[in-house]
Amino acid sequence: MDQLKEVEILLVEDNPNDAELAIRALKKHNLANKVYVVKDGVEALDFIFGTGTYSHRDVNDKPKVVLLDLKLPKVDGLDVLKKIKSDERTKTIPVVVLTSSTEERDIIASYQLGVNSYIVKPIDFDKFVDAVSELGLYWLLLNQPPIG
Amino acid sequence: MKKKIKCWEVFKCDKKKCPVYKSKELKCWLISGTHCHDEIQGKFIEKMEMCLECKVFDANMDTAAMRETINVTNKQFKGFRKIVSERDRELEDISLELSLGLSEVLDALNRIASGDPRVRIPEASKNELISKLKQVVNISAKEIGAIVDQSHEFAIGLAEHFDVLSRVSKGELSARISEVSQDELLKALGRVTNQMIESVSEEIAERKKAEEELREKEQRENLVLRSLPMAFYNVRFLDASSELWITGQIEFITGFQADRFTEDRSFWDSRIHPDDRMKKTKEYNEIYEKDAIETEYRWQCADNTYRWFREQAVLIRDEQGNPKEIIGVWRDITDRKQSEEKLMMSFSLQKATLESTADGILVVDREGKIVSYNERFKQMWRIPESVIATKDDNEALSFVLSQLKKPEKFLSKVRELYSMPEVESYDIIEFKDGRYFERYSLPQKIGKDIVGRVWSFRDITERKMAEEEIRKLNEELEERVRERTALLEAAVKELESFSYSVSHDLRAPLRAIVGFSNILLEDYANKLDDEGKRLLNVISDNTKKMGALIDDLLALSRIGRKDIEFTTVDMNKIVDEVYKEVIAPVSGKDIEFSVDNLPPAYADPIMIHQVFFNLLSNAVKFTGPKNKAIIKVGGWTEDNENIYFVKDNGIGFDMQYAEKIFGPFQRLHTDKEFTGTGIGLAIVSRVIKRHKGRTWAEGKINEGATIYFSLPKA
Repeated sequence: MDQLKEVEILLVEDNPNDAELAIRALKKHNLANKVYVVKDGVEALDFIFGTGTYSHRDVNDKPKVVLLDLKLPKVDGLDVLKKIKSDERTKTIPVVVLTSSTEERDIIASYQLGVNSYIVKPIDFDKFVDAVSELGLYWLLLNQPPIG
Repeated sequence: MKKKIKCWEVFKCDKKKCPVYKSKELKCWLISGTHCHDEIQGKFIEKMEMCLECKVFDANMDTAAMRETINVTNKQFKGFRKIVSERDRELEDISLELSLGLSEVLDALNRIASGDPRVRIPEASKNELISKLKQVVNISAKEIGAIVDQSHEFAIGLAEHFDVLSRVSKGELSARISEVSQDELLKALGRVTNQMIESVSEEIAERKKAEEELREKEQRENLVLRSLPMAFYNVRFLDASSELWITGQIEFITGFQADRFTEDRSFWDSRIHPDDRMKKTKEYNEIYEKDAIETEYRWQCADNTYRWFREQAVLIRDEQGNPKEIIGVWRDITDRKQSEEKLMMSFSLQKATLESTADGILVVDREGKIVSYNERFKQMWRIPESVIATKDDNEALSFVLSQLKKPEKFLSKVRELYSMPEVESYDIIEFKDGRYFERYSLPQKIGKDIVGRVWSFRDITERKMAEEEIRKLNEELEERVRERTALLEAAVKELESFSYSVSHDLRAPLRAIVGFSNILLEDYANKLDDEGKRLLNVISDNTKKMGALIDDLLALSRIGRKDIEFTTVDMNKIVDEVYKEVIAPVSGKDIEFSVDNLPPAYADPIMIHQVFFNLLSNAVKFTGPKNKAIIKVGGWTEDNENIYFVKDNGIGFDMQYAEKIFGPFQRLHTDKEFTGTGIGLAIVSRVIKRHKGRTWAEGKINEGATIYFSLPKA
């Protein structure tokens, strides 16, 4: 399970098509090898906090960025965001909301919960690829996370 | 005068024994013309009696017959003496009332003295009087016969005396009793008469003076009486008839002189109003039972107008209780009657007003006694006549208290108001049977003085019930509004979740279609021919377009849901911003853009920005085919709104579609001609609608279009 330790991008996405497209976009920039995909909010939280099926994982092995869809089964994306940002151990993890929702209330709620970025998934494939690529590049390569 | 015969010679007496013989006068009263000693003055009867003692006389005369004669004569003379003494006394008193024959003369004198100089004793009456007197004297003399020798003289003396009195009575004050009268009696009478005449003369002078004063006084009194609308009358009952006397004032109140009434005794009643005649007669005749009456009736005056008279009369009875006279007064009471009528009118008006109102009204004085009320009051409170007849407010109050829901509250309020007479008050009273009354209470005033209190009650049960009904309906309505609002809120929520779904879930498959079409084109390009690639591109393009449509739809929906934040908006500033975003970046195209001075708007600036963005974008888009685009923004102010427009010289439109162009996804051109989803004007229209403004358009194909919108003033 060492592989999980090295996860740099946690993609929380219930839609496998979107997930595939995102991975493909990241692949184009050689960022896909460290992507881990979870299908719902519960799994996302288990992964991050090392609970449930991910109890073997250490909460301190933080991903470099979490790409979070909002509309998720079981636990909603905003709840996931809230838990991450309200826990001392995890609140420094950069979380980027990557969603289809252009609703203002989602955007406002996300920022209030401490989201680091909010990206609307473009329908246009090229634009989508650009967006995801830029995201990956930015958070993995350019962003300097706090030590610890 | 005959030769006097000496009595002793007649009786052949021893003259030395005869007392007459010894006297100087030598008169004998027994036989006419004889002398016997006597001093005469009033004492002759005693002397005659003395003669009866005379022996000579006694021997020659029938003493008993003589004595009888003397007695008769004595009586006669006593009568005369009484008359004289009474006369003396009465003349001294000037009361001028005498009995017997003198009374008529003296009555006449009395009337003279009373100021009626015209009164005369009728000639016949005088003669009668004198002859009567003479008769009396003659009878006396006859009876005394020969015994009283000088009774004639006495009679003549008396006659002379009366004659003088008679003459005096005619006003002949110079008349005097003749000096020649020898008789002391006549002298005395003469003296007294002369005194009387003098005193009568004085009296007359005084009377005349008094009469003058009286006349003046009467004139004054007349003036006073004239100003009084009343006349007095007096009816004296005689044996078979009656005598009427009326004061002259009658002329002032009736226009007829008093004679008219005294001459024709039925005249008065004939002028009474026919309707009142019976009543008057009936009421007047009651005087014989009641001794005093009072009646009112209309009477036709000389000018033929009817005036109201009040007649009051008193019956005076004699000692036997028989009607003697009536004293009465007529008074013109027309003025009083008229004011009475006015009063009655005002009273009836008040009563009619009181009864015509739908309110129950009760008026009480300051002691709580019922002064007035209307029928409605009785009805409303269901108070029996017997209770109200007590006129006692407390009775009525205790009767009504049992009907009330809160009697203590009502009672304490009533008591409070009685202790504060000046207070005006209003309340609503609730009845046990479900009725409601409005109660008003106001002080009754005469000028500034409070004399009582007016209570007014209005049955407002129906109104109360209607109010209750309205209240219930309102409650129901509110409940329904709440229900509907909840439904609406639920619908809005649903719509929101729908649009959320649209924005989120609908886009995901589109993204997949586009994404996987692209993957196909990228990864399997070599396995697809050109047609296959074209078909995949068609799929991709349409999917993108659908994405755009969804985005626009969401934008439109957001505008509908977004709260408007009103503020004063500088429209020129917004147009400038939009110009920089939309027109300035356009290159390779000749655009003539102008903007007027626009009136400021009261609106949401972000939304208005959106409006101008869409309108200017359209203007640029639709002027595309023109060599030179002319775009103008303008506006003006009307009564309650500001109107703005964006005008271009673009391709324009057919006016029959003028309404249609504001509908969502309404397009007048193909996608090839002009790109777009047809949502721009729909958004404009929705924004303006949400600002309570209007949008409209003018245009002509190939000649340009003008889009107008209005915004209400703040």
